[in-house]
Amino acid sequence: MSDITDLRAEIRSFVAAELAQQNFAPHCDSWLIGFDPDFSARLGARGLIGLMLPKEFGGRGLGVNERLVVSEELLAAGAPVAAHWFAERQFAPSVLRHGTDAQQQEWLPRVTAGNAWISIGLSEADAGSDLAAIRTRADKVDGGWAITGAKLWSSGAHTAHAIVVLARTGGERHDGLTQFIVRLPNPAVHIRPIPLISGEHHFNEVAFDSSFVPDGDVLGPIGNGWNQAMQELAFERAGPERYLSTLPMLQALLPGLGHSSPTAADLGRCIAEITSFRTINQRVAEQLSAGATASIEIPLLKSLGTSFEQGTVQLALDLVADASRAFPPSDQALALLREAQFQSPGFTIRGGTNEVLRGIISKGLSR
Amino acid sequence: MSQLDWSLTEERLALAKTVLDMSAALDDQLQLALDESGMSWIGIEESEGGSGGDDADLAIAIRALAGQARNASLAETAFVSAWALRQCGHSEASRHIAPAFSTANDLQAVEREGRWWVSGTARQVPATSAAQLALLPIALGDSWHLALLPISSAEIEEEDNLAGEIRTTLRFNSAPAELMLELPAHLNWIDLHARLGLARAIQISGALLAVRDLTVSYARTREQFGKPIAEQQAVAHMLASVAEQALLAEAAVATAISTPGLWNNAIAKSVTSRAARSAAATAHQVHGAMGMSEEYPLGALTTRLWSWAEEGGRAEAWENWIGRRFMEQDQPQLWESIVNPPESRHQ
Repeated sequence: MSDITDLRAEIRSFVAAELAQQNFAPHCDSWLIGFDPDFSARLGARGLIGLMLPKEFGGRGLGVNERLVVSEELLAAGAPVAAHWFAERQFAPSVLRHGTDAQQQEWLPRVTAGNAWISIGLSEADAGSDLAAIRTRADKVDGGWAITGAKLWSSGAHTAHAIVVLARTGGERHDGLTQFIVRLPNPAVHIRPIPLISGEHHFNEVAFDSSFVPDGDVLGPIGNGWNQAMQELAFERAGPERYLSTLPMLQALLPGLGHSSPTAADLGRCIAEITSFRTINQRVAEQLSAGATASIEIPLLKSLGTSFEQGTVQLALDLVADASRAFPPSDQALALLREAQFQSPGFTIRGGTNEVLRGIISKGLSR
Repeated sequence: MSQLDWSLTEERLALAKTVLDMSAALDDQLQLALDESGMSWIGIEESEGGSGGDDADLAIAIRALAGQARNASLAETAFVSAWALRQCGHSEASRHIAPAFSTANDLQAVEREGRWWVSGTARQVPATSAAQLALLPIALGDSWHLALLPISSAEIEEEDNLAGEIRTTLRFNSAPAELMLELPAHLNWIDLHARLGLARAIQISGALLAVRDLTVSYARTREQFGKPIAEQQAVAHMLASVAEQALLAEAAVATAISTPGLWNNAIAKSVTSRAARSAAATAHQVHGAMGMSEEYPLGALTTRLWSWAEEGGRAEAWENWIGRRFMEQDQPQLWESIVNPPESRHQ
């Protein structure tokens, strides 16, 4: 327990120093939109990325609860963690589990140093919620594979060192899918930005036209891609970024609120729910770490947490409009609200829509 | 489905199984079985005539009973009254004590001839059929006290909640207290109320698991349009919604059991009360008319959920308490208050 307390103090002191030096301003959804390679590098240099990875790769060989502490502190502070987030969250566990020695030697030290920026290539134009419908294919060629097709909504592909592509190497639906580490930038890969309603650029279309990938960059066994992608999705869906994305906004709106604010109860409800989500998250992380699939609990947590996040935007609008305010919200707070409102439709979509998750839950319950 | 749980040890699983077996008995026999097996005295030290064990053990038994929709006073007597007495350094391992910890009391006490005499009204007192004594919180000067009185010394007006659980009004007219115990300075009326709230939260979490399983089972077997209604996407999503609320309630209770205190009790009661409302409504909608039938087991659970959601402090009341406690801090920090609550009063 004291290890956890020490670690929390460590990450907090890092964040406080970064804030004091004005190295970053807090953002909502900072794990998706807060791209800052220097921040990631400084975090990595302090040994605060990939805590669960073995020491030989620069990790600390710690458990899930330690990793959770660091993740939740960074998200709550709105720190710019997007550069290394996907690499640490799902790429590193996958490489550790399925990668070759050479892949582990190459990528894992880079992950812990905060110098592996990875994009995840799953969705396609005709394969969103129905991921097994993907059509991007990889054909065997001399010394490697030629990938043809296009991935959609790939976060950060325009800045990434590599995109992990799920492509068809045979079979149908869930069978015959394989994961490839496609290095970027790459003259054979065409990346087109998809500007969002906020005008910002995070998502991309990534097109492959017989793009060559050497055999050494195949991740895991041929045909095992679906299983690997699902394992990664478990990590993706089960984190505090599913209920803490808007916390910096709520915090920024607090100064000036009257003590008799009618929204006090709403804040109380927020605190109560986040506290409960944290408990679920800890248990789910422990289950995942123990090798269990937590196949119902994870979608339950994500569905609950992201619906909550969406609700906080309405609460924020109420906090702004609170007539008992001593003074109006800061410009920074209003900017965070604007940011959160633009991002909010995505909360319940990314990583699997809540409707898809509820289908998974219902099937699991009926088993 | 694997259960999210605070620590389901072999012993606790066996405990839950024993309670489930007992709950097949009739109401009065169930109470007797709980007493004779020592279940009623969990949480009281063996050296003081109790059965030993802790809050988590009790919670397992209370949850199992709630899931069976049985009227037994374990939540009120063992979890609430015995706990309150323990705070005052007192234990009682042979008589049942009903906690009068609702918000609607109006009680006073005066000292005369070396005894305390209690007057006034205690409302919504649970467990008065099983209990011989009532435990009444009374403010004396700056400190809170607990008066222990025979229920028979009151004028009794029996009422019940939606589930038919007894909730009595006790009127005392200068009745002599058997004991007058002073609560430690760090505890007051709100702590007693919150403990009752946590007891109801545990019951809600147990009933919600049962409602979830019943609703899933109904939707899988009930066929319309040529297939089980669970296969209709709209219904499937309702099942998921019930499961979400059951998990959320369980997590809130687990938090309060593993890290006890006023703050987490308030969280547990507010979260479970909302979960109860939401899941009860959804479960009834899935069941259609069948859920309205007295013969079908859903109603015994949902009427309890409705009642328990309001008893021991409703969701809005505790949310308001948490929110105000949070905001009265100098420069309140949301995340810090979640990780290290401003109200660390330990129970």
